[in-house]
Amino acid sequence: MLNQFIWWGGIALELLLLVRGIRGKLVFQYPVFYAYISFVLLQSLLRLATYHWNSSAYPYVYWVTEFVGVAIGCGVVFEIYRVGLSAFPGTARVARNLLFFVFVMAIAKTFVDVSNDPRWRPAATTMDLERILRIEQAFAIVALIALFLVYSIPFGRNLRGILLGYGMFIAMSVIWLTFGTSSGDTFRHYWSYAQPPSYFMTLAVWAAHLWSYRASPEPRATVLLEQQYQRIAAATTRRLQDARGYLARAVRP
Amino acid sequence: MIGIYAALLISFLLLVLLLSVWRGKAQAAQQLPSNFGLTPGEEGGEPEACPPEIVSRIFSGDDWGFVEGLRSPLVKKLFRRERKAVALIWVQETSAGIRRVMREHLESARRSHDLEITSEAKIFLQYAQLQFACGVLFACVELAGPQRLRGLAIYTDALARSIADARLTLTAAGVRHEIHGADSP
Repeated sequence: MLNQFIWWGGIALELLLLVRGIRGKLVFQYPVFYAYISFVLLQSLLRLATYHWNSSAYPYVYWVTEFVGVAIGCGVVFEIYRVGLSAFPGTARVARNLLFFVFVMAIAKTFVDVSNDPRWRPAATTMDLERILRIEQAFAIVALIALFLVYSIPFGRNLRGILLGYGMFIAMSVIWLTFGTSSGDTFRHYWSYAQPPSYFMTLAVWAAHLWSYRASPEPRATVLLEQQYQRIAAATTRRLQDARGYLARAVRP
Repeated sequence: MIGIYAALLISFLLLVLLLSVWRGKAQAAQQLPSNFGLTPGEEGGEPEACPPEIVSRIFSGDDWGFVEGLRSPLVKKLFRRERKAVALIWVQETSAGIRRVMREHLESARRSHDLEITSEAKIFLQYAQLQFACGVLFACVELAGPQRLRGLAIYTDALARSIADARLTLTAAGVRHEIHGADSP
């Protein structure tokens, strides 16, 4: 009964997110994220319909929609990067290289794992593949957040919500897929109770943060644009060397 | 295949970072003052906030020699306590100054179009070394007191000089090699 309530509640929240997104014109700011929400909504309804009317096709529908969801999810990560770092070309460049590296590694690893696996069991292998892709998404989000924190990149309420909700969802997915593939039915049994509320929480975070459009805060105006990086780096190096000399003075014999 | 522990570790790390985003640490960092664009003298944010002669005095053994000559245990005790406190504050201030330099660098670098990852890594390494040195200095002052640092300093200084000399020799050799390379057809 509670699960049913959470499931329908989730559908309602997804609908609410879409309605608020359209009314607040957030869909134009975050098109990939809203495409993802629309897809998740349609996916839930499609899975329900398949389960009721053609249960034999359910596993195929489930895995196909799951992988399309993962692919659009990668787009959400890129959207966080695109919106968050639009005013910071230098940091965006670092992030672009970092994300490119992470995703190339993910694809390479996936192909290597699949080609090396002599026993091709569709369900287990697709779950493993999804797990690898989710872990790589987790790596990408960790790298992005670390960059945001190191370079003090400000993010607005909307972007913060997307990041928090999606990050939470990815962390939960990694835990579930890790134990789901390696543990027995006991874990799956308990997780079936824990998973719906955690996803509901993710939706609630999104709904709270994306209720209306809030522009990302602009960085402080005192920072000069178009600074030559070499000049900045040289100045910092010199200042750090001065600091080293100053520290050495304290204990110089 | 990515192991269970690695997967759990990345999930945990992600949740911790999300928690820091939730608590608004990123925004708090943004509130910190930015002095970029001013000369070091104007901004007053350099690590060198205390005159060098005073710094040398804090760590020198001269004053301690004088206090020892007084043969008063109470004065000795007071002197040690006061001098240690001053030295610790100085190390903390210096460390804060270095952090300020790094923060200012990050604030300006994040907007540069031609940001270089290798230079960023080098600067970060330099920063980490200095922070580590501050940490070691703090621990040494805490454990041994500022006056007893001298012995350790003599050894460290000699080591640092020999490393710096070796680096200079290598750089000079590299430059000579480049010049010869450019001359050759």
